[in-house]
Amino acid sequence: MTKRIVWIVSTLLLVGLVGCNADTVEEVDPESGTFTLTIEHVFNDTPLELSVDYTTEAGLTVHFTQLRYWVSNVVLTDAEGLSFAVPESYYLFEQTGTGLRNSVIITGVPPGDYTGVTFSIGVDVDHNHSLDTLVGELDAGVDMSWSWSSGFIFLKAEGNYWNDVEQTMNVFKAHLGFDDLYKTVDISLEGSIRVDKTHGGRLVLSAETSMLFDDMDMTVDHSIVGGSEDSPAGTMAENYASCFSVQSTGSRKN
Amino acid sequence: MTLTPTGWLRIVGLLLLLPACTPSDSGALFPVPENLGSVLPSPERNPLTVDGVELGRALFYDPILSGNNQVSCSSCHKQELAFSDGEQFSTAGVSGNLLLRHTPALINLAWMDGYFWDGGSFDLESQVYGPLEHVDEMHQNLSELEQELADHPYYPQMFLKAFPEDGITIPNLVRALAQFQRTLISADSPYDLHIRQGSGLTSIELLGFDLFKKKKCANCHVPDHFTDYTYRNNGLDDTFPEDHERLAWGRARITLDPADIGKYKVPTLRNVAITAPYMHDARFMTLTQVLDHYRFHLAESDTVDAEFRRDDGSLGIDMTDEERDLIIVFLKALNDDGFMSNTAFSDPEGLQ
Repeated sequence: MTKRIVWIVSTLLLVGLVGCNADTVEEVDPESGTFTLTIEHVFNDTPLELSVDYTTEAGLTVHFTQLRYWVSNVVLTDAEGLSFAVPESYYLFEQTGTGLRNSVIITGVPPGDYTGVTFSIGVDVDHNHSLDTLVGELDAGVDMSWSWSSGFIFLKAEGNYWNDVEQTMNVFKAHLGFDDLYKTVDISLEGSIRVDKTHGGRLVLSAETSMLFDDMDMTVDHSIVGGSEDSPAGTMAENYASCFSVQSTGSRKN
Repeated sequence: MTLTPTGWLRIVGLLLLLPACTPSDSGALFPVPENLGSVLPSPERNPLTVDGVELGRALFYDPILSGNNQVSCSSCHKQELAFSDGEQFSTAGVSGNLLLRHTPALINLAWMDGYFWDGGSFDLESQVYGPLEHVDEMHQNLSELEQELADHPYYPQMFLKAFPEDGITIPNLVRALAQFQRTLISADSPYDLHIRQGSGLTSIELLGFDLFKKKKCANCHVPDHFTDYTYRNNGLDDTFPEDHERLAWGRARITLDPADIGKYKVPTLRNVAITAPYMHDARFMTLTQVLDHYRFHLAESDTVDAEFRRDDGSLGIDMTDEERDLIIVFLKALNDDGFMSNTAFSDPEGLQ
């Protein structure tokens, strides 16, 4: 622990010394390691494929054409309750027609045995409305922000659902955002994940995408833009906040 | 050569700019008319600099910002019309499609804390992305724009001068545009001369000003900004359909608060005589129509502003035709001719 305090103090000193050029200085703790966070998209426990029809437990037939979301503000917590907030952690996870990005390698993680991971889906209020203060992977030019209401689309799910009345597959789109829908996910691990300069930590989560449609009436709510807590957008946000579970953990010697 | 006090201030201001991480004193470089305030507001992260404003001005007039390189900010925001366009709904965008809301005039923007008619954008920097990317406005791809600017004969140097740390980036582009737009200050109308020097308004205009206050216009269009920078429902409609992503909800489209349904930004009345047509949907062609709306045609709804209620609860502001016409005479004294001709705001064509 002393080491971590020394590291923080020395960083503060450096920031003080170099003044406004601090953000160009890369401070690397020689003891630090990496932590890989992966989120596997599944539907009814099988790997999600785009444009393939699935049926939810409630009997809704759907397929996705794209799924994109911001993973932000990752915090790793160790057995002693000490936590490491990953700086500028804003990542765009996506499964689209052009590819899959569902993993990030976090570097500079202080050595420790980590037992919990916290992250959010979406962008916190401090970074959600000024589209010129972009940190991490936040980018206002990747079709994951709104211009009419300056802010980021937290999660975008598009595809088709079976409309029983019209007896056809109709389009659905859910573009969820607005500050109320910023959701934080807490994952506690049964064991711990070792990270140090010789061990890279690894956590694989499952995102059960069928849960997005829990308690949703798609024949009515097939086009959602924005969102408040007490609306179908709010229901879907609760759904994605609870769809993550641990698939596997590990620590790999470099 | 002797320097005037302002000259010295400018030099001191420039010296203050030298250490890049110290917030600069924009006030010394961009003075504010005293009846508007003491400082020109700007976010700490984007203080005004001479080079930033100059870059913003060049970009404002340059169609390079649009996807087809034919539409600039000034295609809809024309200086001769106080940076409005005189149209009900613009078709000047890349697609030629009719826009859904009326082009607002750009006047004293630095004091606003929300942009667009419903305040959907929290700062001028973020506002830029709206017109820049919208398919019916400039329809620009941001990475292509970055490349075009990098290949341009003078923008790389201008960006480096304005933003020495990282030069051409989209955030710097929107910051430069915001800086320029914050300098679009209008406060040199006959009314302003009257306030600052004690004379400038005729006796008829003064009668009109008196009525402007008596008939409650000034309760929302508060002098000297002639707006209170809030959002209000001025009784235009009694139904608020949800199509076009709740377009007709106005402010509530952004806040999702039912109490905000039908509310729009209270616009400044500066230069109002040359920024027709009026309202977010430009439904009124003349100031007479606007004032007659407040007299006779206010629509009842849950959110209509209480200022419009008579003591008996009915809606309307009572005035005679003569009183209405006198108010309009006063409104014309809010025209700032210098704003429309100030070369510091004009197209810097030929700039190298």
